[in-house]
Amino acid sequence: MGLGLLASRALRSSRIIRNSTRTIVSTPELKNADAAAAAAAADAPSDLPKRNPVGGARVHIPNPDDVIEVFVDGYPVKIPKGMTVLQACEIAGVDIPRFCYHSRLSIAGNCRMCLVEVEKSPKPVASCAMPALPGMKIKTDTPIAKKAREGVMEFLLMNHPLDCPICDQGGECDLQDQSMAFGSDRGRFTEMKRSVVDKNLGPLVKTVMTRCIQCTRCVRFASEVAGVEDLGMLGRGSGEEIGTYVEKLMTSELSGNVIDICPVGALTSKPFAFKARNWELKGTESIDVTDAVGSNIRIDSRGPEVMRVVPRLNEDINEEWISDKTRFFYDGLKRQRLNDPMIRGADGRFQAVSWRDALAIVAEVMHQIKPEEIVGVAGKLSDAESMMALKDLLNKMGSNNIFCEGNGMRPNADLRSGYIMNTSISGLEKADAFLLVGTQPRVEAAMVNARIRKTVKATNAKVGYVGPAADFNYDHEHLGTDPQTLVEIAKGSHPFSSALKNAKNPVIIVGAGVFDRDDKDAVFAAVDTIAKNNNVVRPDWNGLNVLLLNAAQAAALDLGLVPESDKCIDSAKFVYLMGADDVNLDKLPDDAFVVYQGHHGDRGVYRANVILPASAFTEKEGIYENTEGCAQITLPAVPTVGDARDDWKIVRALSEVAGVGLPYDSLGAIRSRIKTVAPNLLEVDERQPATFSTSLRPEVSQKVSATPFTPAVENFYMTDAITRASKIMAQCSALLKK
Amino acid sequence: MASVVRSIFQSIKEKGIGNFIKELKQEGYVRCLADGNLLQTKIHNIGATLVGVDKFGNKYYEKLGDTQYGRHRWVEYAQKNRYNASQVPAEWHGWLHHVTDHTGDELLLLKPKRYGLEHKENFSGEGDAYIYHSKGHTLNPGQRDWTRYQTWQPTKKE
Repeated sequence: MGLGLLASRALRSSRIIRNSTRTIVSTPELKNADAAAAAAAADAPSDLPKRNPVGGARVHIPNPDDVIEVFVDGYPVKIPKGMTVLQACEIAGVDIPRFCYHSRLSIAGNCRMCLVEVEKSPKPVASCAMPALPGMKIKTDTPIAKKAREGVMEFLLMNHPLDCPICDQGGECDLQDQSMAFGSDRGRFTEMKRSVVDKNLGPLVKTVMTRCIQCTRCVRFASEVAGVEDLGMLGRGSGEEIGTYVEKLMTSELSGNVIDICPVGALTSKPFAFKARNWELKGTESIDVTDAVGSNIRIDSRGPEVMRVVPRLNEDINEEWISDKTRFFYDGLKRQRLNDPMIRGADGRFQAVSWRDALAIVAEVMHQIKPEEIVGVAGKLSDAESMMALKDLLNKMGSNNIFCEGNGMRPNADLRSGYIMNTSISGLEKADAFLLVGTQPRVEAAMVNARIRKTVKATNAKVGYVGPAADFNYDHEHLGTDPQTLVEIAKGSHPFSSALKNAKNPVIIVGAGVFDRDDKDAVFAAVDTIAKNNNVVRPDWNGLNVLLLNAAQAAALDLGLVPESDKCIDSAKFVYLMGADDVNLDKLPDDAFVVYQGHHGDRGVYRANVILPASAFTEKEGIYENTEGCAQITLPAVPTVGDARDDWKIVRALSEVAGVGLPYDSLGAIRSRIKTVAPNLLEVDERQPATFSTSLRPEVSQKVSATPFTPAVENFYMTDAITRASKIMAQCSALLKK
Repeated sequence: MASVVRSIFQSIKEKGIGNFIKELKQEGYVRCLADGNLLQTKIHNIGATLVGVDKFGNKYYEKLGDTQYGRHRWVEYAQKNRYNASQVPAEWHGWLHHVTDHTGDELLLLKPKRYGLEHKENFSGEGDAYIYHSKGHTLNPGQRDWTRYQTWQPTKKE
């Protein structure tokens, strides 16, 4: 042992002795905060580096006169009047720790985590609730602010259980992160922790209420965004707890979002409980296809299985929420899957065969049948590529009878404005009067409903509804159940027509359920008349909308999937179902040959003669156009199951076997084919508005019938093959459907 | 020695010569002519106390006094031709190796009824060796199913 080593040992041992007298506060210099603050103020930095807002956000200043300047840590920022201190700090690039503050909810100011120091203020202030005033000098990094955060964190952790290792939020927990960043490195708490009885909120949200820090985000979300007054705060002081007052399930179609906004592990996903840790998951940014909204989602997968679905931020479509169906249908992807090509034998039983045999049989039968007796039906979940390929295949075979289920047998694809949401989803926020025709947005498109509710809450917009009795979570007027009401409104004899007339930005939303009506042209003509009389369509405002039901509908109409005859099913001898489960095959002749190409053994397979297994939307790349006309792309998150193949590849292979080879072999090639038909489908993530308004529609002589509108969606939780296969969705519809 | 010869004659008188020879075979007296180990044990047994017999038939002897300490407990295996130490069940192991003075019969009372396993000798080299296979191993009969999806079963007919 050398001398130097000896010396260093001696030094080290002396250091240990010094450390044994450490105080309990981890930052001893904070004990006299005033002196430290004075020291910090003395050397204020003179030239500061450029700072960018948190998350790369851009500041929108509505009125240039209402700009004030504040100083955050000595750095001047210009902000619009009315912003809070916390928002000012965010613009200055300082991320303030917070639990109760959420930018889309009202301000509560009860967690006290966002305390900052403001010059000339005697105490630290809660920045989330404090409006920024001109010339305010905000200090976020001073010893006082740090001490305040440390103290608040200590109080929060007092009653928080130490069960991070078994907590599902572990790894993505705000409390975990912020206690690492701002908390003390030791606790002084030796008493007993409080415990709270768990609440049963239904099959989707798991509660561990002892973990709750009473930020009330979930209470505010439920009452402000979801529109259900289910959750509330009970008790006072340490007896304070979140609850439903009486034993009650949370019956909102957006209830899953409280899992995301909960900053701790008090509200977690019940189906995901103890299934995986979040750092094991691979995130794939994709699109939801269970309704026509096209919510932006992240599919979290581990190996070959989808573990959960969480929302992605998209201000124009779903903000940061998704519906419960989108969030929890994923277990349906693992059940009832078709994994082998199958042929129905003479005894009526299915037998697994090779792709070669299956395609050979389909091609052989297809050639024996007259071209006009071939019918193709695209399903609810079909992507644009496969619909294009199927249409091209059928056209090459000489048939033009192809349609997408949900669009009706006489769809009008001439004017794009006649089937998309012309106002755009985010544009609904500018509206001040709504007329809903045969649509129940709450079950048909929950995210659109949330947008309407937001508008109604903000602007007190009037909502008129024509259709069967329905459940709304905002004030509305039920005007009638049948299209005759529309005629009255068009004439101006209905009391609601004055509300439409006086509105600055009126919006009419027609449900896609109308497509299936016999008098659909007359209904649309009546709606057009209302639009014309009330100035709904102007150069600066287009308030005439159609709310679609399924992810495939808009793209199908863009690609021209319109059948040549509306009675084609009745005389069909060969039907190609591409994931179509809800098409009515009652009138199909018994000797017709049915090919079912899809990923789930659902309604469609029972009539099929040949089954071709395809991949689900989580397993393939595909373009989907949502109801407002915005094309988006799904990305494969997990591998396909068994012998399944991508939809367009199956159609392409079939065309080769049938001897009418399609001229594309890759996704890029098929997309350039789509470009020649519907170029808007390739403008991904950019909403393409319709060029011509529906005023160009020809006159119709049809009269509206007195048949009442029928609900388009009977069960919100089970609308397509995947959601019908899901156990969680089955539970939900058993427990939550009223 | 004389007492041994006397007892032999006595048992011949009781059982008859045929049965006596059969018993002699079963008890391994014939086998011990070729197996010195067994012969040694048999000689050792003379004058020792039989402490117990386990359910396999192994006999446990003890002889205190003139035996060397540490060699005063031994076992005579039930199998006379292929015997090995793993045939001693767990409850007798402790007594035999001087871990405890409680005999196997006493310790058997402590054996848990619900989950106590039957003693199995080591079959290595006997053609029935236990080889460990992990859960995913092809040779594991309870091989885990790694398929993460359920297939549709074409059972229902229209």
